[in-house]
Amino acid sequence: MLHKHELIGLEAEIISSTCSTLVGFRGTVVDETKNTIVIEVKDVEKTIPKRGTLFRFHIDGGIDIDGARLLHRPEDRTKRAR
Amino acid sequence: MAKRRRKGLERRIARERILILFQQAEKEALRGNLRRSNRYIHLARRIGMRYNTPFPSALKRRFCRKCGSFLLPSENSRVRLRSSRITITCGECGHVMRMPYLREKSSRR
Repeated sequence: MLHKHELIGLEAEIISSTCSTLVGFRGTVVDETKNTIVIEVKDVEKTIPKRGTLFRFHIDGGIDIDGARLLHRPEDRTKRAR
Repeated sequence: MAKRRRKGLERRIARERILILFQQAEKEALRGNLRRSNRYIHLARRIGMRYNTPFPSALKRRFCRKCGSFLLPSENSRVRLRSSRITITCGECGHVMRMPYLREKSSRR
């Protein structure tokens, strides 16, 4: 259900990605667009593509979501995401 | 057959998302990061429109109707009681929002 809910403000970690330099980043989600999620890691904003990335959101003990499932505008996600 | 949309559930989630975004907007505003607050208000308003979900009345006063800025009283907005109305002036664009408080007035008598 989290893939339909608000991600801003959550603690997120990158478990795997097609770009190996992104793996392991952990921080607060501060913004979201159709194709990216912006995470603040140690006061630096990192823009991370959703496609090809596996995120872990640290809420309720950690929920893993494949970024490909989040590929919608934030306001459309509640009704579009499957 | 197409999957039926669950509008009740969607609206419930929309309401929760709006509340979360306002909380985050307030947090960022208090840290002096107004640009981010305004972005969150923008997202919250879009969610409200998409799912036909009204904002809780307490939150309707926390942003400017005209320019969409998050309003932090004393920081970037002015709240005054003037002739049976609350007036809220946006410090960013100068827009004035007025809302009557007649009910509170008549109940006092």
